[in-house]
Amino acid sequence: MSEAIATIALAGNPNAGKTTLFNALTGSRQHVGNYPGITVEKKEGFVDMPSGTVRVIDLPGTYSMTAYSQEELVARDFLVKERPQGIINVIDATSLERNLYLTVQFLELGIPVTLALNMVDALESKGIRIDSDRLADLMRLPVVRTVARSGLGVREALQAALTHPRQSWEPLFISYGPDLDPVLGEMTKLISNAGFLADTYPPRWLALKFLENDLVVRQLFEADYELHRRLRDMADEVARHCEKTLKTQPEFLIADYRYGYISSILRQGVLTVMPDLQGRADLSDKIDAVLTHQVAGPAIMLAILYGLFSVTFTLGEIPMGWVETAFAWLAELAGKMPPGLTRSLIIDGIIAGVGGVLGFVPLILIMFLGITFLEDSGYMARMAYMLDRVFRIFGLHGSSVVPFIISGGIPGGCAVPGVMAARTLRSPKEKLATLLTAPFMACGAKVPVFILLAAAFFPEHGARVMFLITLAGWAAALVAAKMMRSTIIRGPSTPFVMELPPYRMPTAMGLVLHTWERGWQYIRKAGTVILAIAVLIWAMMTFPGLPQEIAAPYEAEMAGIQEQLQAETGEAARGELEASLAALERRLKEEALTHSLAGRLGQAIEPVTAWAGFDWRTNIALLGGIAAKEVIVSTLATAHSMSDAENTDFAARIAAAPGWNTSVAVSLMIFVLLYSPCFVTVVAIAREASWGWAAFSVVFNTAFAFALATATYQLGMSMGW
Amino acid sequence: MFFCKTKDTADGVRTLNDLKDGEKAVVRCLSRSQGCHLSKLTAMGITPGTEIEMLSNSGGPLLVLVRSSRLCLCRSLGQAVVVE
Repeated sequence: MSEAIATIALAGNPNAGKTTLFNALTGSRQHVGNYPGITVEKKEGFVDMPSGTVRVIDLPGTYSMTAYSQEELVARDFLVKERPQGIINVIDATSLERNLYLTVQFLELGIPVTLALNMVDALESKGIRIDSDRLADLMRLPVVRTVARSGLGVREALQAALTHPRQSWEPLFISYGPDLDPVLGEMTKLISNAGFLADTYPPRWLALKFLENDLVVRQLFEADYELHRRLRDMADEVARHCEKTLKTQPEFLIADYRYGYISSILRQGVLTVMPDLQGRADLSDKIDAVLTHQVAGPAIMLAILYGLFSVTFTLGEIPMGWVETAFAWLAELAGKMPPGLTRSLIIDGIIAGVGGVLGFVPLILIMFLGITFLEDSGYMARMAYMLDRVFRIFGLHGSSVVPFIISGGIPGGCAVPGVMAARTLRSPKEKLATLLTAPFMACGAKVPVFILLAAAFFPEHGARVMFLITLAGWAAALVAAKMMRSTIIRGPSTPFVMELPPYRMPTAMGLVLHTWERGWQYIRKAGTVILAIAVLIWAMMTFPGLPQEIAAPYEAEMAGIQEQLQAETGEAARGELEASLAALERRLKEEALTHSLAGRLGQAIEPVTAWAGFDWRTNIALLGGIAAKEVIVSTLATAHSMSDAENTDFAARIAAAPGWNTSVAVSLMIFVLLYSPCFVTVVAIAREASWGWAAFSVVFNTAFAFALATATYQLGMSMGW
Repeated sequence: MFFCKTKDTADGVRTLNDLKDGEKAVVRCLSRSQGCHLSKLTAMGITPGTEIEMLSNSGGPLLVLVRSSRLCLCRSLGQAVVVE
C-alpha cells in the first residue's frame, strides 16, 4: 500500500452516523484492531483522493472528552499523541446543539475541525432548517452537508478536511465568565511559563481539564510537584468560591458556558425550528409506541429473539452441512495416506479439531448478521431499556443485556466479544457482575455439545432442548449475579443514562462489514488457538504409546485372524472373523487411550467427576474445553473414534456407549453450560477487570457448575432416568 | 445557574420522576447528589433551560426527549433533575 499523505480522524457522538460515513469512505479497505492494552476497537481505512492516499481513523463515539470512560480517553489520546492533520466531526444534524458540545471541546484542543452535518435529509420532516454557510462563518470552519447512508457529500467532507484553511493547531478561546476566567488565565500562564507538556497540549486546555477534575490530566501534573501543588491550591480555592456563591462546581460551570457559547452561535440565524412541526411524532416514536409498549413490548422482544434464533438454526443447517461434507471429504483424502502417526495427527487431530470448529462458521455468521441488524437498527438499545427494570432486581443494568446477548443469550454468541461489550457499562460493580456472569450463556462453541447430546438422548426435541438450555443460561447468570451483588460485590446500583437512537434501516454494507469482522475473529481463533489445542490434545491422547508387552498379544491375535480370514472362503465365517477383528482393534485402541497422558489424567479425576456422572473420556473433553469450548465435541469424537472402528453416526454411538444415559446427558449439558470460561474469555476478563477476578471466574464457575450438575445427576439417577 | 440552591430542592419541588407521559417541562437545575454522573447528563444535553418531554414514565427507567434525541435514564438520575 502506498504511503498515506495525511491522516484524518472521524469523531462524533455515538449514533451520529460516524461508522456509516467511515464505511462509505473506505469501503472494504479497512482494518479493525484493538488499541494496545485495552479492548476499544480501532478502525483504520484508506481512501484514494486526487492528491494521494489518505489514512482515515474511525474514533470511538463519545459525548464529551472527559476521562470518565475508555472511549473518551482513547479518542483524546489519539488526537494529542498522533496529531492527525484534522478531524471530520460527524454531527447528527437533527440534534445539532447537543452534538456541537463535543465540537467545542475539539476546537479548544486546537485541532482543525471539519463539520460533516450528517442526516440532513431528515431535517425537513422534523421542521428544522440549518444555515450551514452561516455556521461555517461563525465557527470559522468548513461545514459539509452529508447523508452518509447514500454516500452524499462524504468525499467532499474528506476533501474539505484535507484543504482546511487552518493547517496548524490553534485552540479556540471561550470565556468562562467572571468566576472562572481570572483563575483560568493565571493557571494558563503558570503552565505555559513552566513549558509543561507544551508540545502535546495547549496550556489553557490543561488548565480547564485541571478545573474539571480530570484525573488523567491531574496525574500528568504529578511529574512536576511544585506546579501541581500551586495549581491544585488555585483549583481548590475557586471550587470553594463556586460552591459558596453559586452552589455549583467549576466542572458544571464550564459545561454551562460551553452550551452558552453554542446557543449564542445557533441563535444568529443558524438554526431555525418550525414550531408547528416540532410536536409531531415522527416514525421512530410511532414504532416505539408499539415496540416499547409496556405489555406488547416484552412479548415482541421475546418473539424477536426466538425468531432470530430459529432462523439462525434453520438457515444455518444448510451451509453447515456443506462444510461438514467438505471436511469429511478431506478426511477421506487423508485416509489414503499410509497409516501411522502423521495420518492420525491429520485426521484425528487437525481435521477433527479444526473441522469441528469451522463447521459452525456459517451458523455464527448468520447469528452475527442478526445481532448486527438489531444493533444497527437501534432495537438493541430498546431491549436494554425494557430489560433494565428486571435486571435491576438482580443487581445488574439494562445495558448488561448487550454483553449477555453477544455472549450467547441468543445461542451462538461468544463470550469474548460479550465480555468486551461489558466495557460500555460505566458502573464498576454492575460491570464486574456482568463480566463474571456473561460466560454462563450458551455461546456458539457450547452449542455443538447441546446439539449432539440432544440428538443422542432427546431426538425430535432438539429445538426445545436448546430453548431450555438458553433459559437455564439466563437464569444461572441472573441468580449468580444476584448472589455476587449481595456478597462480594455489594453496593448500590450506579445511575445510568443512555441514548435511544432513532430507528434506522441498517445499510447493507454496514451489516456485511460488521458481520464479517466478527466472523473473521472467530475463524482466526479456529486457525490459531484451537488448531494448537487440537494438536496438543491429540498428542496427549496418543502419547505415551502403548508398551510393546501390552500391544503384542493383541497384535499377534489379530495377525492370526488375518491369516484365517485369507484362508476362509465361506461368507458367514468371514463375517464372524471380521467382527472379532474389529472388536480386537477396538480393545487395542481403548487400551492405548487408557494408557495415554490424557487417559491417565481423565481417570485420575474420575472418582470425583463420577458424582456428576462423567467418565474419564468425558473428563478429557471437559479439560480440553477449558482451553476452548469448541474442543469438547471434537475431543469426545476423537476419544470415541479412537476406541471405535465402526463408522456409525456419532450421536448414535454416544447414546449407545456404556455409562451414558439421560441423567448423564442432562448433567453434562448443565456442566458444559456453566463451567469455567474458556481460556480466551479468561484473558478478556483479566483485561477488563483483573487477573484475580479472572481466576475467580474459573474457580467459582466450575464449582457452581459442578454442584448443579451433581445435583441433577443424583436426582436423575434416583428417579431412574 | 446549574446547580440547585437549597431552597430549590425543598419538598414539593418537581423532578423529572414526577412528569407524566407526554408532559413537557423545562429543566431548572440539577441537584448535586449524583456527583460525576451529572457531567454525563450535561454532555447528553440535559442542562438548565432545556425543554424536556417525558415519553414514558411507568415505574422503570425514564424515557425522555431532549434536544431532539431520546434518552433513557434511571430514576435516581431523574430525581436529580429539577423541572418547572
